[in-house]
Amino acid sequence: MNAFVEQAVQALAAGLLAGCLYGLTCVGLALIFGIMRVINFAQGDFMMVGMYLATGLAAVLARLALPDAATPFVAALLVAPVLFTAGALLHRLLIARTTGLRGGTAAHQAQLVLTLGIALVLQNGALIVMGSAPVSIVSPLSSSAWEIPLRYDAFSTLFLNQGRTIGAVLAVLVALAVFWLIGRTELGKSLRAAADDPEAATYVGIDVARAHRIAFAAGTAIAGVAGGLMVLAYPVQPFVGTDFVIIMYAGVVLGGIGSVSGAFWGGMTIGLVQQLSTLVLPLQLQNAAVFAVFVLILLFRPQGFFGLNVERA
Amino acid sequence: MSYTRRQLGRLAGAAGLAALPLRQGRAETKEVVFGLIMPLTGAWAKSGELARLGAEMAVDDINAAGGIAALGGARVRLAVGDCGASPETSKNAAQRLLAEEPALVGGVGAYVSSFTLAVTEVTERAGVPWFTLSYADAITNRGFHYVYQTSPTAEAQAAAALPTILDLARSSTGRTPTRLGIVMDNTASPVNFTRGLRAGGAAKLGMTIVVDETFAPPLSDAGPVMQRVRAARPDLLLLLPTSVPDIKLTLEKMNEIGLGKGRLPAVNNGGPMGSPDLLRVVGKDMLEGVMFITATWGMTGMETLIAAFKKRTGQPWITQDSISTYAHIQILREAVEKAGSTERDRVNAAIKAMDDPALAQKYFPGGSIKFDERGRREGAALVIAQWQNGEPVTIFPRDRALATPIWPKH
Amino acid sequence: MLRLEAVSVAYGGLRALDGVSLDVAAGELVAVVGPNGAGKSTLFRAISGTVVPHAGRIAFDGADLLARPAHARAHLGIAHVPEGRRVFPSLTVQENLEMGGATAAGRAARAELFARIFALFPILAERRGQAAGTLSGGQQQMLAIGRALASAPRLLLLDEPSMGLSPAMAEAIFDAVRALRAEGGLTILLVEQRVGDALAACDRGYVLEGGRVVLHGAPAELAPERLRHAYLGV
Ligand SMILES: Nc1ncnc2c1ncn2[C@@H]1O[C@H](COP(=O)(O)OP(=O)(O)OP(=O)(O)O)[C@@H](O)[C@H]1O
Ligand SMILES: [Mg+2]
Repeated sequence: MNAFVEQAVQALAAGLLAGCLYGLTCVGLALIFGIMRVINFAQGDFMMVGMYLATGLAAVLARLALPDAATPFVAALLVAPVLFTAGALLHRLLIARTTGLRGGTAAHQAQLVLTLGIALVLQNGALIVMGSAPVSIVSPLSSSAWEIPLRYDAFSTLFLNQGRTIGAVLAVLVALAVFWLIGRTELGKSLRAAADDPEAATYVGIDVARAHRIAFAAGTAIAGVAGGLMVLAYPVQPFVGTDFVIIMYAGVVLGGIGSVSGAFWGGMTIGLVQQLSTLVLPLQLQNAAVFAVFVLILLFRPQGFFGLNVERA
Repeated sequence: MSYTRRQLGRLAGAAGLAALPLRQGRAETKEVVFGLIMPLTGAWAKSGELARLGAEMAVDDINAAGGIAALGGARVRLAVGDCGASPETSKNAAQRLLAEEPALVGGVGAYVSSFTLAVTEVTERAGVPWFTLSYADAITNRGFHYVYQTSPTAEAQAAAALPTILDLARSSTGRTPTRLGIVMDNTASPVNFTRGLRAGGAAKLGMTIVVDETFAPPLSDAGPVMQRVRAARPDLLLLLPTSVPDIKLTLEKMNEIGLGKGRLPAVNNGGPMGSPDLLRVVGKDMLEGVMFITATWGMTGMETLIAAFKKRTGQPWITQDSISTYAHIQILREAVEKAGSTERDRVNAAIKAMDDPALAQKYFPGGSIKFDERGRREGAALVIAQWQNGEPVTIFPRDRALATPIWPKH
Repeated sequence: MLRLEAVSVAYGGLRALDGVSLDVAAGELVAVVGPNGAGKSTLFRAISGTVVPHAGRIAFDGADLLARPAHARAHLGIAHVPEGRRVFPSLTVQENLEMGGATAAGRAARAELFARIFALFPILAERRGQAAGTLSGGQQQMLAIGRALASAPRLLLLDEPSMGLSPAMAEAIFDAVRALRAEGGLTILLVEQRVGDALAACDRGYVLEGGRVVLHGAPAELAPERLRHAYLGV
């Protein structure tokens, strides 16, 4: 019994930690897909790029006088400006050409093909440049834990992986910053307005093309930061994005399309279900459990947790 | 000598007929083409690359030593094909290689069992003797006549592995582990590897399976799995994830909960566990003490080979991939020498006639270079290597080991 | 203040405006009426820039409007209340108004502008924190007008503000339009299906049909029988 409680607490902690990172990846996609309605197949690959960048930056930072423990996280955060710029350029040069047809299936088909193309270019580009062998940031943090004794007996202990815990805290902080930006600042409001109704947004003086570009770039940057935080625990190889892109879409849909904070909770739900399911189900069914719960939730709440209404979803 | 001369004459004639007059077909300059088909792009590119390095070194060594003596010092050339990342592309690669190299005498490849199955479909039809390090039993279960496996097959490995490990434990500590833990993903290799253990294999060896966890890769967090291992307190863990991320996560978690660095003896299966890349991803500390089973590894008696390989390639150590292809090319050379011909059927016959324990000793832990009617090498045995101080070193068989095992004396 | 000269717009091959010329002087309320599909909304879109004329000129305060991108025109003082309201559904009432008020003029006078909007439509003050998508149709129309007013516009384009509303609500909206006019200082271009009310309130009117101006002048000149002719071709 005690062993079960210990496992339950451990699974809960693991779920929360994984959920924070999933949540952040979902927030990134929510900006692009949820808000701007761009179907982006390359989102997982933006994350892959972020993972490589963070690994490289960490190696560079390690030569500077930075404290060892800080390098992986500083590297992850430094990914943001790089990928923001890249995302903005990508949008200006390519994606904007498809959002012009906005709304119709024609636009979505064009985006599908375009972003699939971008995904392939990124994957194979990474394969050529980085090779197929996985790389990772090697840090003692990823194999050290804070051990928190569980008070109900003498030996049960909660292990909180230090790397993951710091990563999760940073993920939450970044997500909070995004919520604040989207929810409270004028820029964020204008992004939402442009997403709600681009024509009406034009009438109030919003440069809709610019708004879309910023949202896309921000979504790209967030994917990169999430990747940077992830790479401490999860080695990167050119095709790693495909492991995550399904989780991202599932999280965004769970949270309610169009809701950025909802996307975070969607990702969190996936993390929790993934880990807590191991208490009652065989490990092999971990991912199956995620999708069973996904289908169940959408059965009872088709608009997701925070979706306004069904049409918008 | 007379043999050689006769040979020379015949070859000179053949070359003169077959071809062409650009220059006199002089037997001494005749070229012997061996093929190599490996995954040089895609997820297995690293192993393919290591395999290629081994083959290239073998070819250079042969040529430096005067080429194929029986053919008047004919030089060996390696024709390389990339089988990509799928059985389909593997098959295409084999067809292309055969079309581009009509003089192909024999070859090696293609690392991943499913690729090897596809490649050998093609090479068998063309009657090209083909060597592989792939384990799958199916490769030599098809009644083929030109395919040779130098590693123990998967079933043989599964049957031999646990007794071998227990042997090692006993010889290191004087005690036999009794509580077995299994942590694996649900891919074919560990599933096949452990099937027999659950069906009474473990019990027969006096072991109880105290924890048995199978997950669907990729893991997002190894916490729940390793917690159960911790709770079950096994004294030997078969740790069988196949993908690098999962290897990293499970090892880090082991370390985190105090079971790492050899405190709980953990054994994986397969050469990738000894890849130099793993060091960069997982880190030296996490790998310390981790053992893995493989068909061959750097051993005593291979010192010159190992040193030459490291010098030549800059690789930190030699792996199963490079040793095996090096061996395969050397076996092909030996067969061509014996056949005195580049005719595929004669070379194949020469392979079938071989029985050379000394040659086997050079590259493999046991047995002979002698193949049964299915093409399986007789006496093929297992090696256990262990990560010690950032390098995987052979610890079993003891007489070929380069280091003594670290095994916790509970 | 606003002058259109021979403006033509086509959607694909379909001609929606065909050489429309129109003048609006500062302080005027000018009504544009015409049957469905006449091109009234297209005329407004051409002014605010979401469709691009293939011929003609549009000048605002003497400057060439067509040289300015659509989103810049709001900042020149043109506010467009589009047909069908088009509030930002996921934004709150307050946020919708803030979006409208993001022009320089709107920012400078935000407090007064909001006070004026809330005086005109007290319900908006009550519903400040509510998502606009959950407002009733009439409330959304008020918000759409309020959002336009928040930019401190000089020219207000109102496209069928009473469309789809109950008669009482339509009347309330219309009262608001009259009140705005009465306050003065605002130039209004109004498209309205309630032709009688529109003509009664306006200084001048244009009748649009098939993308052309078929009639224009003071309300008195747009006598019912001439209108009927324009509308029904009898
Ligand atoms: N986006 C569009 N694509 C193609 N044709 C359009 C588009 N918008 C309007 N039209 C066509 O242009 C013509 C003018 O339309 P417009 O909306 O300007 O008319 P309107 O006078 O505002 O009509 P209503 O009184 O019904 O609002 C119509 O024939 C309409 O079908
Ligand atoms: Mg209209």
